[in-house]
Amino acid sequence: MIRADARAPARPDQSAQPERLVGAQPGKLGKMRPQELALRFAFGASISVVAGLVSLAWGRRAGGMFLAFPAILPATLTLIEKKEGTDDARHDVAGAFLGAFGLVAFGAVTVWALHRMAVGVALAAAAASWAVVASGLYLLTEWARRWLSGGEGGGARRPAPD
Amino acid sequence: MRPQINPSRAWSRRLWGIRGDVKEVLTLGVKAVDGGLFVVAFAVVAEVLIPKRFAGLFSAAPSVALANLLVVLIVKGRHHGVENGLGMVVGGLAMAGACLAGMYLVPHLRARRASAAICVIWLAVTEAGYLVALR
Repeated sequence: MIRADARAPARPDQSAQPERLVGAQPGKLGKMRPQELALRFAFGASISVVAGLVSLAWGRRAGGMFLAFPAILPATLTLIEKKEGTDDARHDVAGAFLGAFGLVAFGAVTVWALHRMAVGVALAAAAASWAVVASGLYLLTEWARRWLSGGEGGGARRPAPD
Repeated sequence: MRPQINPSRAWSRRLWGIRGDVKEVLTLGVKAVDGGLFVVAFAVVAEVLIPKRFAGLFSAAPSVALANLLVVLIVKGRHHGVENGLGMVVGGLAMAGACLAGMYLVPHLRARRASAAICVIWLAVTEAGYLVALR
């Protein structure tokens, strides 16, 4: 059961609008602060160095594991909770759960493709496999969730705020 | 005649068990900048996407992996990339396990402590996976 978050910022009533399956709000780009980007850069740079050091100290397979470290997640979750509330942070981590299977596909396709293709093509194939698996799982689970909740035409409705 | 040993290299060998190579340090520096830029790029894409469950896919994007594999494949060749890929399969499964736990932990512990718990769970699962499947 999801708890109502008393500390979540107030939102307009969206109970009448069907939730979109996929969309974009380019206007949010302007609201990103340089500190938020710097924090994410620091996370990415740090984990890259850690992965490199682990590779040198314990071997390439151990270093490879750190390429799937949740590098973006901690910064993203903290910032989302601060700006949009705990419920949105929980939705983000649910998305990351599906994206993680894309990471598994990325690793498997990297191993398979590097034996058979040019390096550039192999990396592109691995990236494409992440996109296909992650978005495929997302669409599948969203359709299932909306079908189970009885949404018409895939248009599940947001619960009305308390 | 005994071979000359560079004291700083001997120190790093003792401390880290790795070669204190200038090339390795430079490679690490390039990986750091590259990794940071890729993470920022994926974070910017995630920021504009809705709903949050879809944007969340990008919290598990292969940003660090793409950045590092690019450098590894250029500097060290395919074999290193294949070995890294094998590790990624285990790391990805650990990420799925940690995020599954995170879906429960975020509403209960709030984001900061839940993030720390996710990282600890990821480390524990990868350690187990390494011992079972990769060593």
